[in-house]
Amino acid sequence: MRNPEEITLTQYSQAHLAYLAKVKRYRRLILVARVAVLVAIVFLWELSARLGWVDTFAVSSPSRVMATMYRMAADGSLYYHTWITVWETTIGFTVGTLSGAAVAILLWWSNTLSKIMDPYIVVLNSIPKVALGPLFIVWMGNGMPAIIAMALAIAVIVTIMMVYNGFQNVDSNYLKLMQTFGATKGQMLRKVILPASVPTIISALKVNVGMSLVGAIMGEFLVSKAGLGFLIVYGGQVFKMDLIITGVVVLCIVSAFLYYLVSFLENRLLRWQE
Amino acid sequence: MPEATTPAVQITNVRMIYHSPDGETEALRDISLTVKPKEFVSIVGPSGCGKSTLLSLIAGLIKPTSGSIEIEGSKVDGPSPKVGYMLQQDYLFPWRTVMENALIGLEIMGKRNRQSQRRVGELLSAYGLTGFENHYPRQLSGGMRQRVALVRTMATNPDICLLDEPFGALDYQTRLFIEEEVGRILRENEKTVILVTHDISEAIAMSDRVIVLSKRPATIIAEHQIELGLKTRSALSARNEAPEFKTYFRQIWKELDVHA
Repeated sequence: MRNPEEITLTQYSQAHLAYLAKVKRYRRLILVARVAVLVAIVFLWELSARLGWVDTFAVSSPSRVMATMYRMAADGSLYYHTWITVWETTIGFTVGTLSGAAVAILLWWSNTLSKIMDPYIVVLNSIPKVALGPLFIVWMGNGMPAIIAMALAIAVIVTIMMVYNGFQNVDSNYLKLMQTFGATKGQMLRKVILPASVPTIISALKVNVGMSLVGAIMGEFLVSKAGLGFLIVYGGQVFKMDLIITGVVVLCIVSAFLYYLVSFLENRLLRWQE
Repeated sequence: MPEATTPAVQITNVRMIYHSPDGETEALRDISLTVKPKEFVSIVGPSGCGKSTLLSLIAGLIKPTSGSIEIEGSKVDGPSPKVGYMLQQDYLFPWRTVMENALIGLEIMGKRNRQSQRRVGELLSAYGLTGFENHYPRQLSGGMRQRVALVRTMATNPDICLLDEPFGALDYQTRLFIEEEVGRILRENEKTVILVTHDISEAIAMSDRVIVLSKRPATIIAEHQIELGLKTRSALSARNEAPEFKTYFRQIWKELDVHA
């Protein structure tokens, strides 16, 4: 019983091998089914477009979307617009998360401050941030700074609420323990509150990736001359469904990519949880 | 030299009232208690009677409404490195390894260095945790976790150990085993111990003296010098072999019953 790793058998029994094979088969089945769903949708969509069941003017078709994507990739505009949106999202996400966490720490530090600020944070959380868009445009001009402000505004409030809640949910007996050793408030923050809140902070990050992307796209809808949000709005204005759907598809890929990036971070940081 | 005369803990006429917007609660009333160096004292009482409040006061986590508390002759004013505290559960940090958990107290006090680290390593080995230094708490059994918590308390080398029902979360068998072991370790290291528990037999088995508290507001209603005719004192033999054990148990049981 010295080491849990050592007691695992190196030679598995027949029954265990059969079990492992079963688990593997099941996982493969799930993966195949996932791909099949996508293939089926694309196939049906293409088929109904070709056979004239639906109007391609209204719903486009996979082949036309592919063609648009190919064309835009060739002239580089696809990368350009994607990059713009990713950049705005990343800045909004990073600044929003960091400043949100900083505010949460301040609120944790001073109970009085948190009581005073409580109603303001509640109101700021419930107000649709897109309503602030015109303000940002007037203040920062018709361009990227206003869009980043939008992404940031959405991310920051959610971060404050989630992270502060996480801080408060840390078992107070951990703090009592620290107190018996004569810990300062700063030590409690660094050695208990922050590490204990890593899971909460990670889930805040996951929510924030999506939120910042929403902010960036909304910002682009309102002001921009570039980015995926711009592509989608522009496509709508000139009735080019191919362009809209291309924009949406790329957006799906971007958001999935950003989400998995955070998940990767989560796995690295939460190894003790397993 | 003054150690022989100066009590380890001196509590004089302590009264504790908790205030909340709904009203005030008197938790402790006129508590006076002297604990000698190296003495093992248990405090029993009905649940919610203010036993833990008493420990928090001695640890300097809260201040009494009136009265005074002295540790080795000096007035308690906040947590002191002379006092170690074991809580009702182990409260090991799940993100820290066994070694890192055991070192937390030293780390807080700014005394973590190669030398103290080696000493904690030796303590872990001495308490049967060899080979587990780099494991995470979730990989350990309840008894082992409690041993790590003990190492954490012992690592800062306090003179006085306060134990707040530290075995309450363990299953019965583990509990008897750990009780025995912790009792032995604390005695071997000549610690002054104040154990709070609602388990009468645990109190008798482990201590030199048992203090019985009444229900809230708690006052001291009885005090028993535990004298068991045993050659070597151990928690397990006290339970199993000492004929006086049952007498003490019945007596304390009655006292708690009358006042509950």
